[in-house]
Amino acid sequence: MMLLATLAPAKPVLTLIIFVLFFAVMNIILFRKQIFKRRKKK
Amino acid sequence: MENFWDFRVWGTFNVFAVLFASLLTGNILKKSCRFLRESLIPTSVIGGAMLIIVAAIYKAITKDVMFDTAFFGGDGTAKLEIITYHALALGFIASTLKNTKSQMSKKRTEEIFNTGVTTVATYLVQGIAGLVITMVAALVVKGFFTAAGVLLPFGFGQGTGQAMNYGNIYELQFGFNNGKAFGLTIAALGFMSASIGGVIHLNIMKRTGRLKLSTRNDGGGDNEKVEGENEIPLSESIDKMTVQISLIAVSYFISYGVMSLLAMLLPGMKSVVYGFNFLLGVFSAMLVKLVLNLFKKCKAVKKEYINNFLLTRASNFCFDVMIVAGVAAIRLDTIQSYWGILIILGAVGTLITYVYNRIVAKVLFLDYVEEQFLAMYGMLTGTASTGVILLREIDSEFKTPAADNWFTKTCLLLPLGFQ
Repeated sequence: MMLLATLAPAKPVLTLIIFVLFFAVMNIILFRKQIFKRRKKK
Repeated sequence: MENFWDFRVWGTFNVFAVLFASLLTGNILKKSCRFLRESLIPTSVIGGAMLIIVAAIYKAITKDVMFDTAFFGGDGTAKLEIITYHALALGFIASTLKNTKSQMSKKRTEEIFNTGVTTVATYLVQGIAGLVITMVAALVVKGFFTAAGVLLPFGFGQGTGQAMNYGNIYELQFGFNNGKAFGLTIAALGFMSASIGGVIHLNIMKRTGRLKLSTRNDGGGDNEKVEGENEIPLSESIDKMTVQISLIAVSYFISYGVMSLLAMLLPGMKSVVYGFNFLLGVFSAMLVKLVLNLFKKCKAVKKEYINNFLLTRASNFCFDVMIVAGVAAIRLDTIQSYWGILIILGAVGTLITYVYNRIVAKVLFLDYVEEQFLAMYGMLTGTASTGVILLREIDSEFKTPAADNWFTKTCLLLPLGFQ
């Protein structure tokens, strides 16, 4: 977060993309049981 | 040598005295005014807001900036920012020096881990929302700083100190006009949304019968023991509080040495290095704790020097000072042109933090949904103290692990630099 904060002024679009990707990864980690449990059921 | 009656000798003390006077006055106001009491706005925010109002009235009458008068040594506004800057690091150092118990069940470890990941994810979603808003604003408002929205997670999630640090970095390195004031204002808006948003949520939940508010007395406080096992006496040839303050000061001094060295090696990154003062302070505190533990193992030191109760008091003191100084340092005239964007950032930040943490609490913390939600929402819009204030409304004795989830995850997240 801190390093991305210093990247943002120079490359705001790239920073936004990185934020979105990291956010997606965090949610996969957070909801891992719900995501993989559903896959197992299928 | 200055004369003892010169304002230069008294300026710094006068700044502190005014801050503490505003804290006391804010406390009296809060106790006397039902709206303020029920709003759960921290006393430090009320104190800071009062100083903003007084300074604005002073400027309207005299055309001078109150804190920059000779009474405050001529540079009172800068002193307020310096106090905010140092108080952030000192508060974190005091927290880090505390001894922690590490025995945890698998379920507790998972809950703490989930709390940590939720924190990071909330920072990211606040960053996404903030950046999108200011990128659009930069297209509409000529010359607006595109990356200003990144200050939203710092102001909301991390508080006054970090918001000011990064606002300062953007001001010095990237030319964001009044970046510091922008960051401080976002942090202040975060406190407002923590208190007012939290109270609105509590009232709605209470009216629909989904929540029962705790009855608590004012004496209710931390579960920490005043004194632990095998500690040095409260007062001997040196007072125990003096020992804690000395440990904090030494830790911060070590971090200053590290920052100076890094700044020498990376001159282009100087403002960034010094902006990480709290993180380096935390690592220094970990080092000091490690050295103390080594001395204990070698029997060079036989008694426990660290006292958790006093360190919690020191940490809370630092954060109270940080908030009142940070809010008081806001100069309304410097952010006049940014008000529209600030209000949008505040509203969107509040909404997105509320919705996201509500979802996470309902899915992952089934045993204590409301407690976890209130603690997280309060902490991710204000600071740890606002989260605890909201949590206490429904769990005054901390029967659920919601507060502990937050404090323990801090130690796990710090090495990632996400705190």
